[in-house]
Parts: sequence; C-alpha cells; structure tokens
Amino acid sequence: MKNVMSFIKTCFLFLIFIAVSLTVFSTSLFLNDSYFVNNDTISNDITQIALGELYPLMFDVYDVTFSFQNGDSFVFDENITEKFFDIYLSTTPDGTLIFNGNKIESISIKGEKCDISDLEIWIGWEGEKELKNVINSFSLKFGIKIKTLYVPNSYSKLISYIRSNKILPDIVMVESDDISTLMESKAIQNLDYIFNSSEENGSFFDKLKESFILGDKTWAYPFYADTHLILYNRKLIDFKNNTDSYKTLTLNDLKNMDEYVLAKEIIPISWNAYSGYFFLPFMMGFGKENFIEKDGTVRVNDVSSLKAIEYILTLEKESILDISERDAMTALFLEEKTSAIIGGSYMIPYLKSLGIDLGILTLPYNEADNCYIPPLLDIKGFAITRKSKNPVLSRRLIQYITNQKNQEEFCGELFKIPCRSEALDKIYANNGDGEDYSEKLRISVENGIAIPADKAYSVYKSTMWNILRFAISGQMKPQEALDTAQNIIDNNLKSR
Amino acid sequence: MKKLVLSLLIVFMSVTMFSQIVLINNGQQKIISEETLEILPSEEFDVSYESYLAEDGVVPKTSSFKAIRISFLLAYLKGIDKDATVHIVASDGYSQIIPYELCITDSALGSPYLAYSKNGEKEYCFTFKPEDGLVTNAEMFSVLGEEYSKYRKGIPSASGMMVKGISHIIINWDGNMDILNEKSDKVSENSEKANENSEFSVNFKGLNDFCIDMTIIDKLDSGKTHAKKIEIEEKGQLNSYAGMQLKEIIAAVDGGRRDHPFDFDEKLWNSGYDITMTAADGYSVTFSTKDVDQDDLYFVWNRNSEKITPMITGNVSGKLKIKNIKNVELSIANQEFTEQEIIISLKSDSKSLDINIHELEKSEYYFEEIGQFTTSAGTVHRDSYAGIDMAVWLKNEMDLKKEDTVQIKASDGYNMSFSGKDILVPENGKWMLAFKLNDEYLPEDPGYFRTIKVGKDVDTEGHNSVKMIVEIEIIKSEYRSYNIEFEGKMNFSIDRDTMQSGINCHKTVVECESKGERNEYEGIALWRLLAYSDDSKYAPHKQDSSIISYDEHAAEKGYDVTIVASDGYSITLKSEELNKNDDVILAVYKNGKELEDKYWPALIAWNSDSENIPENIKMVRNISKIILTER
Repeated sequence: MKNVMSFIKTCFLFLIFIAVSLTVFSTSLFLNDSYFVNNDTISNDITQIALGELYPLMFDVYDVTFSFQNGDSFVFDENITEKFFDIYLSTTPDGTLIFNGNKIESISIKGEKCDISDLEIWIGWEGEKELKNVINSFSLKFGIKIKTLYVPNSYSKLISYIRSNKILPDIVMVESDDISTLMESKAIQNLDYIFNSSEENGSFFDKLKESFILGDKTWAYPFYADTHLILYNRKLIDFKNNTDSYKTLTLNDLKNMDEYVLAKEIIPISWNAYSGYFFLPFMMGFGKENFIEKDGTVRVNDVSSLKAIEYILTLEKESILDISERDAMTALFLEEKTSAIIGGSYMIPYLKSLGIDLGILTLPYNEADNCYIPPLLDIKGFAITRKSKNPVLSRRLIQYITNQKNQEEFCGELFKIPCRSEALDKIYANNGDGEDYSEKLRISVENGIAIPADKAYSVYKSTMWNILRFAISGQMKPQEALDTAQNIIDNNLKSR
Repeated sequence: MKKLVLSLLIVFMSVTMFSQIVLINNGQQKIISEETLEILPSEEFDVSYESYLAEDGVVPKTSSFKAIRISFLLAYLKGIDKDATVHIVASDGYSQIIPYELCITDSALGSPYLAYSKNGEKEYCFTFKPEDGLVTNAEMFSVLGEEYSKYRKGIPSASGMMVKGISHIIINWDGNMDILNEKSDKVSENSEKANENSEFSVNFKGLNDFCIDMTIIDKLDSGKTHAKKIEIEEKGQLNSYAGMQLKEIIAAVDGGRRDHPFDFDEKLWNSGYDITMTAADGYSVTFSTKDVDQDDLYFVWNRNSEKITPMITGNVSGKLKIKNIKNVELSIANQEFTEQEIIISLKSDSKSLDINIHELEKSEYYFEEIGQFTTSAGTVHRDSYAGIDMAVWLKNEMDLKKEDTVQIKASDGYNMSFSGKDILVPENGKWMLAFKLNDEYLPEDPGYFRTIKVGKDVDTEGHNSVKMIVEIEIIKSEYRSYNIEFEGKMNFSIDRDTMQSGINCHKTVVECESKGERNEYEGIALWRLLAYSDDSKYAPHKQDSSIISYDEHAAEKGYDVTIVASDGYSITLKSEELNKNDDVILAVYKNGKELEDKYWPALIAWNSDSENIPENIKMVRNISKIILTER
C-alpha cells in the first residue's frame, strides 16, 4: 500500500514538474532564464516538497525570490544552488505553499539549467530495492535515464575498470576504507567544492562526513552508517530493574551478564573477537587516544590493547562470552543458544523479520575510564568518478538521494544511521516496538569511530585477524601476540 | 619582421618552461625558477637502480639524467646546520631524506642530484650519481641506514629513492604538508582574483606534459600571437575575458610538434578523445572532443580587465566552465602504437578470428599481476605483467576443453603445445597472454605477446613462456605428454615441452625409407641429445651459453648408445657414428603430424640417402630410454 501511495505521489510530482516546465521554458533555456511557479500547480496532497523538486535540475541558481501573499518578499542573499533539495516548502490543505509560515504567492528563480544526459550509478550493500526506488523517482521526476547497477564489490570493479580503460560510471557507492586506494588510483574526484560551497553541512553528522576525508580533502558524500550494537533476545534475558541497562551495560555488567540470562544453558553473549573489526572498539574503550597515530602508524602493543585483550579473555574464561565467527554467532543467536551478540545494526531488519523479540544496547560503558566502548561506524557514501562527464548531474542525484526526506524513508526501512542528524529522530520516533532506536543510535554515532579511510586500517585488520586467534587459543600470551602483531603492522606500513 | 621573430622567441622560451623548485630552511624561502636552473652547471649521466626485486634476478633499470648537483641549490640557503637533513619532496609529499653531509661530501652513492630531465622527458626527480653507475640496495642501506633507505613490500628498494615531481627541497622538514600547499591556499583565499605575486601553474598532460604559469601568461598577455578577447554572458551580465583558445595549448600535448609553434591536431580532435579538466577545489569533468567545437573553449586569465586565476570558459555548458583550473588531461594513447594493427589470431577447426591488442585491453579478461619465468640456464625474470586471462578467454571465445591441445605459434616459427587442462586449471597461478611489462607495452622486438604464468610464488619454465606469439590454435585432440629418459654420466628426463622447445631451435628433417615407403620425419639430431648425459658437468642450456655441453671428444673416443623401446626392444649404436651426424634423428613428427600410436612418442629415423648411416641402425619406435655406456 505504501509503495502504491509512493508511486502515486511520484507520478503527481512528475505532473507538477511537467506543468512547471511547460509554463516556464517557452523562451531560451541557456542563461539567465527566470522560472516562476505559483500555487495553482501544487496539490494539497503534498505536505512537504523540496524546492528542487519544483524545478528542472539547475546547474547554477543566482537569484531566488519568494513573493508572499501578504505583499512581502524574501530574497535569498546566498547562493543556494547546492541546497535546492534541502529547502522544504509545506502546503496548506487548500494547496498553498508555505515558507517560514508565510503563504507564497509566487517564486522566481534565475539560473542556468543542467545539461541533461544519461547517468550510470553503481550501488551496493543492503537496500538495493529501496535505493533503486529513490533513484527511479529522481529519474522519473527529471526525465533522466539512469543505469543503476547493483555491484557487490564496487571498489575492486572500479579499479579493474580503470586498469582496463573501460568507461566508468558517474557515481559509485563506497565505504570509507575504499577511499585511499580509489584516491591513489585517481578513480574519484575530491568533493571539496560541494562542501565548501554549501553552508548547510551543519546538518550532517560530522563523523560521517569526516570519514571520507583523506589528505584534507573530501572524497565522498556520506549516505548512512551502520554501527556495532549489542543485539539481544528479550525472551532470553531480563535486566530486572536495572533500567540503565536498557540503554547500555557497563563492562562490569557485561562480566556479570549470566545473572540476567533466564536459563543457565544459554550463553550470555557471543561475538567475533577474532576480528580486528570487533577488537578495535575495545582497544579504544580501554583508554587508547588515537587509532592512527600522528606519524601514520598504528600501535597495538600498548597498555590499552593489552587491557582489552585480557578483558575479552576473562569473559571467555568465565563462560560469559562465546567467541564465534559471524555465521556461527548468528546461528547460535537464531537457535536461542545465546542471548545476545555484538553485531552490526544492519542485522536488525533481518533478525526482526525472523520474529525475534529484539532489543538493542549500545556497546558497553567503561565505568573505570568514564567512557563508552566506541563502536565502529561503517559509513557508506557516494563518490563521483574523476572522469565523469556529468559531475553536476551526478551531484544533483546524490543531493536528492541524501536529502532529509529520502534519508528518512531509506534509513528508516533498513535501520541505518542517516547522514543527516535531524533525520535520525524522525525516523525512529514511532517504530512501535518499544525500543528507543533513535537514542541508542545517536549515542553510538556520537561515541563511535568511523572506519578510517587510511590504508593503515586494512593493514591492522588483516594482521589482527591472524594474530588475535593465537592469543585467544592460548598459543601466544596476550603481550606476545600484540608484539608480534605490532611487528607485522610496522613492517607492512613501512613498505607502503 | 624582427619584432615577430623576437615575439615568437619569447613565447617559445616561455612556453617550454615548467615549474619551479622551492628551497626552504628555517623560515627562509628561495624560489628557483627554471631560468635559474638553466644557468646552473648541469651534467648528463646514466644510473641504474636496483629494486626490491633484485634478489629475484630482476636486472636494475638504467635511466639517463640531465641533472644539477643538489649542493649547488643548497648554496642559495644560508645557515644549514652540519647535522641537518635535506628532504627532497615531491608535490604529493613523497620524499627522500639525505643527511646534509652527503650533499657536500662523496659517498658510495656519489653525490645527490636534482635531475630536470629523465630519459629525455622533462621531469624534476632525484638521483645519486655513483661512480660505477649503479645504486644497489646494499649501498643505499650502508650509506643511508635503515631510517632513510627506501623499501617496498618490506624489502630495500633503491629505485624508490628516485623521487619524481619534486617541488620542494626542505631542510629538517617536519612532514607538515601545509608548507607544500601554501601556494594553492593563497590562491583559494584570494578567490578568483590573482594578485601579481601569486604563484600558480596549470598542468596539461597528453602525450607529453606542458605547464603554464604566471610568467608565461604575462608574456602571452603582452604578446600578440595568442591572446584574444572574448565576451561571454554570465548570470545576466556580459563579461569580457582575455585569454587564448584552449586548442592552442592542447596543441602542445596532443602528439604533434613538441616545440613551438605547435600543431593542433584537428583530425584527432574531431575523431573524439576524452579531456578531463580538474579545478583546484577538486571539481573534475570529462568531455569528448567530438561533442565540443574546438573553437568554443577558452583558457582565460583576465576578466573585465582584472587578473584572475586561469579558468576555462567559452560558449559551452556550465559544467565545462572551470574556475581555478589546475589540470587538463588528454586521454590519448601513443598514436604510433594505436595506429598499428597489432593482432593475434585464434584458430580452431570451426572458428577463426583476429583480435586487436586494444580490444584485448578493454576486454573483461584484462588484468595485472606479477609473473615470473626462469630460463633454462636458471636466470629468473620477475616483473609486473598485464594481459588477459588465457583460461577464461579461450574457454569463452574458443570453447577450450581440458582434453584439447593448445598450440601456440610465434612469428619466428617457434611452436609450443599445452594441454587444455594445463591452461584451464594450472597447478598454480594462472596463464596470462601478456602484452604489457611494467606498465609498458611489450615492444615489437621481441614481440607484442608472450605467455607467462602469474600469481603468488609461481614460475614459468622458460620454454613455456612463449614470446612473439602470433597465433593460438585449439586442436580438438588430446594433448599427450611423454618423457624420454637419458642415462649416462648425468641422468635427465626429457619431457614433451623440452623436446618441442629443442625442435624449435634445432629442427632436423630427414627422409627415411622403410618397407618400401618413404616418409618425412622431423625431430632433433640424436647426437645433440647425447649432450644431456655424455659428461658429468654440462647439459644443454644449463650453463653459460659460452660452454658447449656436447662432449665431442668423448664421442670420438667412443661410447655405446643404447636406444630402448617401451616394450624392452633395443639397439646399440656407436657414438663415433653418431658424432655430429645430422642424418640420424630422434623423430617426433611424421609428414608434419604427430606420430601415430604405434610409433608414439618417438622413433629413430635417418636420411636414407645419407652415406653416414650407422651400421646396426633400425627404426626403433615407442622409444622410452636412451642409455650412454662407457666401453
């Protein structure tokens, strides 16, 4: 039903667009055209509409004037070209457009239209169908033919395309640790021009934006983040009256988690402690200041890392923690043999769809050091290829996908953390299952660490994947394992 | 006329310039322009650098430099501490550190130099000038120590010292990149308005590089040859720009004359190639020249009589108007190469096709990987290759099956057969039909295509790394391997590949009559094969080529050569009768085809018309062993 409504809405907006287009583009379309819209063309079915959805896609807008019914007018005194999808107008029941509480009589803009041509975008990860819907609605609204390919490993495909001189897509969905190689391969263009020209960036979570910064330049436009969470089965666990525990557990609570589990044979918690991806939050949560040191190295044989590994080994020794790789861990959780797991937020829709009475917690709180164990933020974004023939059109599509309204729809369905801070609360305001996703995701994003775009992270991750299991299996003492890992990391980073 | 010549001379001098070097020491900054560099004493020399692959036998690469001693440049800076370190820094921040002392005294690496030309191409790069012309990894390590040596994959790699694109030489640099970016920061702070002293450069990259900076623009501005005025309507007002047509600069890098006056290649522009333009703020756009009129794009540096940082504008779409332009890159390949029809033929009973090297490069089968082959003398060649995945390619294009035989033919007549199974599922690595070596196309000599196994810890026997390939034929019959044992003072097992390789070098054909029938047999003269076992030291291709592995003296002295068939039947011949006798061969082909089963894999054949036929010779077939025995 929701999809039908969405389709009808899309069609309606398209009709508005056609109507506006017909009335506006009767003269030369090259430079200095003035475009007018009045409320006759707006339906009262729409409660909110982005300014950009009322007009053709614009290359540059240099004069925007709202004339109000009360005779006043409002002229934007800054260039709002890059904000066209961020400025929303609302409608009254009779179809009148409202801006800042004033009824709009007409809108006049002066600017230059974008050249329209075909686009190609590679998307990936969860939400293929949902993202394609958003892209299709853009395509339909603005009459642009868009080839959307779902590419599971866009990073390596892009690199192979560059090496073989193939025609690249205009936009590629990326994650932060792809950036250094894509940048070095000159595959993507830096997007400083977007962020420098738009003061609206305040609405982005800084961490999401910063995760795509490398060498002081921004290489991708953030879209959403996944984060580590404790996912637990409410049927198997009872936090009694420890109300704080419904938000988070302390490290001490985690040590005593068997007290909350309702049956003795159930393992309290499981996670893939072999993985550096899961170890990094604990390293940082035990007092490490920076993951990547100022000299570009990564230190793993320090006190914080040792404390982290010893804590994990204690949990395992006391049968609180079962260390399993992802598939085994998920199987245990689904079979109700473990009450909780540390997993990615992207697992929430899947687990809920299986009917699990799911609760979520942030990663634990380290009461001794007065800080959270910071979850990793796995951030996805959109990069524009350096050799795109349509960088402006690409930018407009990205701005459309990541505007607040589309963020709310996409991230809401998939339990993602939207790149726009204000979208987070709206998404999870009324989810109906009694869980306060909004607060816990906000805590996670505020305390979290973005997966670094630096190559050092890949070196760290592959090294720890091999070495941590020696420490966990007892083949190496914790300090010995960390020293060995350090040695390998140093050698690998030195040879870069 | 004199004025015109003078004007052209000025333009020529200025346009051939490229960027400057900034020297920094403790707050002092000295900019050395190219004009200054031109008057400093320079030297021309060749230096070879070992890479991290040196231990694998990769021969150091030699480069020719035109260079200036770093010590001459450092003389512009005052108060350099004796214990200081000199950081030779590229514009991207990559650097080589050398102790200052090495700049003023000689070491095993010789003196350090700033090269302004490498292999004939203009480029600022760093080099030492060792007396013997070779920089080894060990020398680097011993002179610069662990800290300042360069590594790749954790292995010392002297070639890493050749820092390219040098923009700064900084004393005791703390790694702060801001120092390198100061120029561009200034430009962006000043927005589009360029002040008189601001420094900028716009790089044009095509088949060669070309750089335009303020000095050139000043001269263009004052000259009459190129500068033009155009008016463009923007945001409702008419702006007047001074600049030149972009095509006039494109002409410098599109493959024509590299000296002024340049020839713009209009035909190439109209045929369509991509140009990627990038602004200082990162904005980048690509267009096909086919889609834009060559006269519509302008490179301008003055708007409404005010200097601005150069931008691209014109009667074009807004996306092609680029403020603060930094780079213009032409996607054109070397015309000499692209215009050549380099093709490889694929053949089978049912299909035949010719494929261009550029189609292969664009195909889904293209990839890059480290490959290695070892010559029969044991020299290892390990390099980065690019080419296509033979297994997937031949499977998709020619329906190659494991049971088939793949015959690879080279332009010099060399043939090598592989089993389909070996190509499709090799024991390790994968087979590549390579056409690029270390990012460069394989040259015409020794040939554009070669087979090589690539992957981790793989090696290709030299005779299987076929070069100069012109044709690959898929034969729908099973590839059968065999081994013929040679026993004597050394024992060898000669397999089909080695035999094939030997035939490629020493093919001998005889006409032999047997049972009233005369046939043509092809193989290797038997005396040549005796070289495998006739002494205890040398065998064919297993030592330096100056050493002859065949022991003629032993053959003259005499030993017995017993040829044994798989059913045990044997004959014994005398070495004296076989010595250098090309009329007796170990044959593997009959009338141009593989031997029939009853003869497989080899037989003894001889020239029936010869006067040198050994006394006891018989046509032994199904040969499995050849034994050399002292009498």
